[in-house]
Amino acid sequence: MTATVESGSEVLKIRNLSVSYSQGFGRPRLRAVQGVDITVGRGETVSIVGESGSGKSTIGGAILGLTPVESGSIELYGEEIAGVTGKGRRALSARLQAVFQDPFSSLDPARTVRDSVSEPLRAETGLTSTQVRERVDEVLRRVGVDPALASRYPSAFSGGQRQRISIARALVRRPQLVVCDEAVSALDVSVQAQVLNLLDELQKEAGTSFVFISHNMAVVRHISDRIVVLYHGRIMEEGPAEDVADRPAHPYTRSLLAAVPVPEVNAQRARRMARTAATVRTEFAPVDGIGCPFAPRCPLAEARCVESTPPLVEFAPGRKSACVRINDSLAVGHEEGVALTTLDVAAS
Amino acid sequence: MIGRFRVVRQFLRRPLGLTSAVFLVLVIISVALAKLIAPYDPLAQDYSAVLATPNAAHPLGTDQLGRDVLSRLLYGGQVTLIGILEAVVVAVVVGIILGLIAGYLGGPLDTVLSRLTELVMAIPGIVVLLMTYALTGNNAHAGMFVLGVLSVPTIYRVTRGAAAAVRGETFISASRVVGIGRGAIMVRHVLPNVWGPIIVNTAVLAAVTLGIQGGLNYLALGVNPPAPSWGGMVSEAQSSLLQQPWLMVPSGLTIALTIVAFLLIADALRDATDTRSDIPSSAPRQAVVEDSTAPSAAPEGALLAVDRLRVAFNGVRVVQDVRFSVAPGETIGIVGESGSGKTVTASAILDSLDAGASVTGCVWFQGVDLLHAPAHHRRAARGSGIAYISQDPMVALDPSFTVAGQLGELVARHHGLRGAARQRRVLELLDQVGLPDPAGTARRYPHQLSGGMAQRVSIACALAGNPKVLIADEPTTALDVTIQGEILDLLRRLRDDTGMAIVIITHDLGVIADIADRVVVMYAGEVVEQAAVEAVFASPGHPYTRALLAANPIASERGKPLMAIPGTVPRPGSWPTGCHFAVRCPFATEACSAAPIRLEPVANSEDHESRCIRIDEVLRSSRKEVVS
Amino acid sequence: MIKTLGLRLLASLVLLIVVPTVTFFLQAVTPGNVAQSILGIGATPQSVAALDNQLGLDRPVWQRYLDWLAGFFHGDLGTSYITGDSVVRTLSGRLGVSLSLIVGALVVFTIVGVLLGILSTSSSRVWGRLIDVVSTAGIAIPNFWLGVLLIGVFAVQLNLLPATGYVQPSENVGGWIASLVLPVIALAFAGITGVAKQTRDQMLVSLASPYARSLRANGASEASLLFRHALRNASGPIITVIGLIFVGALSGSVVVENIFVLPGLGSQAVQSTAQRDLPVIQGIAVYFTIIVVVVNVVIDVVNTILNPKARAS
Repeated sequence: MTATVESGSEVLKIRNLSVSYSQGFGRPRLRAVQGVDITVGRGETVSIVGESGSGKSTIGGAILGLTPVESGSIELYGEEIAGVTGKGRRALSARLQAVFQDPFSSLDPARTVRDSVSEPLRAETGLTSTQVRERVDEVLRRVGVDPALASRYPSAFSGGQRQRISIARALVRRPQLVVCDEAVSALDVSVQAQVLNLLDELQKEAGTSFVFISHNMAVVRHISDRIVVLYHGRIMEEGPAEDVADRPAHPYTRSLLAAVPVPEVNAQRARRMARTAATVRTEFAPVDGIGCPFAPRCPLAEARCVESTPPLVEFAPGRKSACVRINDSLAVGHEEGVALTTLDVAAS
Repeated sequence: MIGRFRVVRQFLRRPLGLTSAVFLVLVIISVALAKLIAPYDPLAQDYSAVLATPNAAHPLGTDQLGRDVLSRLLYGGQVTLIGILEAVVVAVVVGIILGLIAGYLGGPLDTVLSRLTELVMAIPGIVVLLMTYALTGNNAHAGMFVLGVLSVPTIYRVTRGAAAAVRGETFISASRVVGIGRGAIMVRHVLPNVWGPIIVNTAVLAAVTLGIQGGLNYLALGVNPPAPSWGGMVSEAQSSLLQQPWLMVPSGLTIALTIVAFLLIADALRDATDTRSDIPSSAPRQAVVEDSTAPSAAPEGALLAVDRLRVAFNGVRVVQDVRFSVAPGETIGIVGESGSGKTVTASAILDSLDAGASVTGCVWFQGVDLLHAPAHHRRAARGSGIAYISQDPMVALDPSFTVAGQLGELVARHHGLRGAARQRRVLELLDQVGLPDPAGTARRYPHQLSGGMAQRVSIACALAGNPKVLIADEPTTALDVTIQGEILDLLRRLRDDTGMAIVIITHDLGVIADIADRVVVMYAGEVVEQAAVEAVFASPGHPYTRALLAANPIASERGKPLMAIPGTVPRPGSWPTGCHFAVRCPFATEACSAAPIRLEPVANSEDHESRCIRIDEVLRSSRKEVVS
Repeated sequence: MIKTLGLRLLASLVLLIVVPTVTFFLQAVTPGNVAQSILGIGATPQSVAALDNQLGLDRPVWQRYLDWLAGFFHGDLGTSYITGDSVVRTLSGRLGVSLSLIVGALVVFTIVGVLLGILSTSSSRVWGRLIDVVSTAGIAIPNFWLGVLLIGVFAVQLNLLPATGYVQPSENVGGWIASLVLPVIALAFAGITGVAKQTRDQMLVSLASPYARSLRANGASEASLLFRHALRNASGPIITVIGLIFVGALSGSVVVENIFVLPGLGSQAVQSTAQRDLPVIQGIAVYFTIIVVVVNVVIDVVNTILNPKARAS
């Protein structure tokens, strides 16, 4: 077990996490997450990126106690929190909070903004109602929502404002770790930028750690310190954000990056070529969950990719990849211009 | 609870509901005070006045034994109303508790409870009631209790459904994360969001119960004649139907009016609690075309041209002064954020605006203004002139038909093909959109397809009529990013192979860069800029376009804040007089807000238009400012 | 698919003994003595005890329940307390009468309801409003009042149809139909409005759906959207509602048979209730439940044929 973060500063430590779902009688269980290790340090933002079915939201749910954990451990400051519910969760909520995707369903339409934002404080004993009011006003002001509007219902606010209110609710107890599950995905680009900046400022002020779950490589590249790339419930690649986003090591990461269309015509033309070239269907597929899950779509796939499941290996300090052809993959990577840094809007 | 008093106020504002409530209260009061206000003993017989029509002594007449009908009605109402109360209370209390538990907690308990209620609903309730009356010696209360139990499924299902819907909402997860217990969540978050449908259905249940109980009383069940009951009085009336038909009226009408009162109260409650129904109130109707536009000539060289398009919903303008044109084989991208009006524009072109919309302007297609053309012209253009693919492929195909079924229908419609020829064309189309196994795909139902496959089938459906223009509304938004690329490649290939033009609507400037030849940028219902795609990215001619490019995290430098646009898009109905973007614009001056701004050519460029009076300053300002 | 249907059928069989089981349970928990109530308040304790013994009511409830179950699986539903005749024989002539009425009503409310629903979908707002009014009337005019009104108008005033009574189809088919017209209308009325409303609502949902929008934009005709797509997608929910309404109509048939003096299961049920003749009521419960089971199975089959997702699983 190689922790990339020095021990003692670890906020969250996930070890060998597996989650599976029942698909009904007589069908095999769906393996949503398999043997995932993730470590988050203090003040660090670790992003979990992947497409639908990658298991990224399942991991978020497991951390937050919304999804039952099959095996493995989740430690918050060294304390096991997997499967903790009820009173234990209430105690945890002082340190662990969440911001969810849909700004239109993440606030109870039947409760005022003040009700929603103060709800986490109910678990905190010994607060007078004046103190609660002050805390709510303070955090609303901090996220840019006028506290005078707190007696309104969510329907009176736009999507961006609702997301600010959700962030206020997550921060009102000053947690050490916030799980952001697709927190900006439903927002328009201009509003998304506001919210991303807000999250960044808040993190710098309070040293909060973030687990940022997203499908959007561009967003993830901007906000993360480290990126974990997930595919079919397994980690494909992990490392510092600039490395993963700008010098991807795993063929899957590369195809994910190549697929992001960039708003620059010539750059996008080049990227399109790379993307089309990398779009393949191979004869290799994992059998009974053994083998690289990306092999069926991997331009580098060969027989040994599916003979056993490639382990996640540290190939350079702080960088890991689950590819048996890591060296070939790295060599290809340098020739292709899939990274988002190859986009230089200013240069044209 | 969500504005409890607001609901009462809302209810009181509805005349039918209010009248019904007043009527019901009067009925309840007079029935309760029967002893005081009834003119006669309900059992007192008077053989000198049998079967009398209404008169001064007997306001509602008398029955075959000379008993006063009004007095019997008042006393009979006691059995009726108490019975309803008993049955409804049992059904509601048990139904809500079980429904909340099953709906919110889910799991095996839910399965068991739901199976049990299905069982109860499959039992013909009457036999259980008959058995109850037989065993209890015709006991009214026992009967109503059992009727209540038999009605539990009604309330259970409503509560369970509403609670289960709320359970999936993110705000419940948010409360669970904070460690709020299940019971507290049910009381704080689930109940306030489900009580609307519950009280509505309780009122309906009261109406239905009254009908059933009347039937039982008609059969002399739960009441022992000569004791009066509303249902029993109908039975008595039947026996003297030949002699005095009037007797049918007081008892029957009282029952009917009371039921109607309950139903109207339910209706008013439905409106007052804003219990939203997914069911549209009427079939999709044509939008109104207002002919206030001076006719313009069909633009030369354009296949499709939109001119001075304006759309309003119920008087609120959502799109105005939209104009752009599409040349044969060209790909136009319409880009904008939510509320920009891009989808409404597409709907106007497709003649598929919802009811309540009114349109002005022109939509020229092959020299004909479709908006003002006769209906058969518009119909003829659908599919074979202008085709359409929508955002979410998983709901864009009819779930009840195989791929071949729906694609074949369109092939038959456009080409009159039948049988084997039709099937051949279906397979050709599926092959053309790059599906690896056309024959296998043709046999499948939509739920057996992945998102990417479903979108390919949707595209095949759009191609069935060999259209000249394909309108694609966010065709990749619902798809994973790697699939998105494949669909864009497919659209590009089809455009090159068939020569059709494409209008692609998207919020993603990257998609525009990937596929479009020209861009129309929309903001708050207006076109703010349009130009060739290279020009827009290289030298954006409107501050909004610049800001949109700069806000994109793709162009960001890590560790530096993104160039966010402050504020929010103004909502339709609250648009400013001048430039819609002015309040968020770093270039804005007073002049920007003074008067409407026109879409005008940008200097030195024929094909570049911008809706900005500060265009020179915008172009002069260093572009570095935008990207760094 | 066959397996699913088989499982459903098995589950439906459970339904057959639910009502009798409940009634034995009720017998165990309700105070009072059946023999006493049959004989009346004036009966001597000796005669009550004698009747108890004669009817076997002096044995524990659970023993009688097991006896009943044993008989049930051999097609024996016990004997009437009052006549001493076998329940099966008592009810044998009556099933046909009830089936004529109930199936007649099923056919009428299905066909008229669906047609009315389609009509209100396709045309103007007026029709939609009409359906709303009619569906209120469907609940507001209960079958017992409607039945008597129908007799008053069509039999007494206009003298078009018989007021009461039943004619066997073997005697006179025309007379059989005439004797059923008013009862069927009285029983079907509430169902018509329910089916019509469901038809309209579900078709409107389908017509407003994204796939209808796509099909229309790509050239499908309005007629195809309405009859091929909307009606097909609405059919599942419509059939489900028909099943529920049918169960309600069974209960209604008891009232309607009494209004029109039809010698069916329902009039027997009311008579037996007045006489505390429990075995006969229980027998009628079994007959009614068999009808429900048969209809449920038919509905399942039709639904499976119409719904591709159900067929796949």
